[in-house]
Amino acid sequence: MLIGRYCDRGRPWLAAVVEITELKVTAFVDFLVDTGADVSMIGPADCHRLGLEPLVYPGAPQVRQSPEPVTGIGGEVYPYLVRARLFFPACDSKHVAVQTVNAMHVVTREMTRLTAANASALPSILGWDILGRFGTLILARGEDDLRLLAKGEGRS
Amino acid sequence: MGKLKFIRESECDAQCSQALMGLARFREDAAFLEERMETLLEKYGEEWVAIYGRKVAGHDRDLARLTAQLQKKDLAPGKTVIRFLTRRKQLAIL
Repeated sequence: MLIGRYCDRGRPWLAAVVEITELKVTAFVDFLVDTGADVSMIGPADCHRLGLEPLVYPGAPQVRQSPEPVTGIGGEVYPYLVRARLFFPACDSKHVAVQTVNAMHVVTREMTRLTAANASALPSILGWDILGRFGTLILARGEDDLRLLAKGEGRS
Repeated sequence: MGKLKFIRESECDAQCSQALMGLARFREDAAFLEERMETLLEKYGEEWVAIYGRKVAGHDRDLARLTAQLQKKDLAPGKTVIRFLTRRKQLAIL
């Protein structure tokens, strides 16, 4: 069972270790849990924080650009795609959930053409591609309860 | 997309184990930032602020300058909580 938290005006967050072996990056990312997002994404501010900006450029080794756009309210972008492993520590401190993502979407600040301040409002997102791997998602903000349970795991 | 696996922490390699310990600190730092938000906003409003070890490790109006500051202090920006502090309402539809 993974436990997240509500903060930043009560939004649901889950922190993870993100490892992008091919780019020699291991970092920590706070993901906004977004059940409406099809895919997970490393947002523009985190992209800079993780040092990915100079590594993801057209033609860079180990990096592809998505052939299909990702659409949001601001329009379309063609994110970079990297292979990543995400590690989420379980609440029992003994287990770790590990998810390999073959095409993690990375959105740069330049791609979004947002000001630095506005780019900060575009967080990294844990979308349905990863959330859907779990059995149960509990989002009970009033009870300060945010949990992700493995398939077959009890809710008690 | 690979399969979601639950492994024992003891099965993690050394690098992963170290990273997981660091993640606990990262989460505490994020909680610290939330707890002190009002005070931090008064001091560093409209700036990027870095928190490491429950302390302000740096601040700047420019994110690139802040990450350079951190690197000079041998702090990895990717393992540091960095947030833009503003009182402006930033409503998002993602």
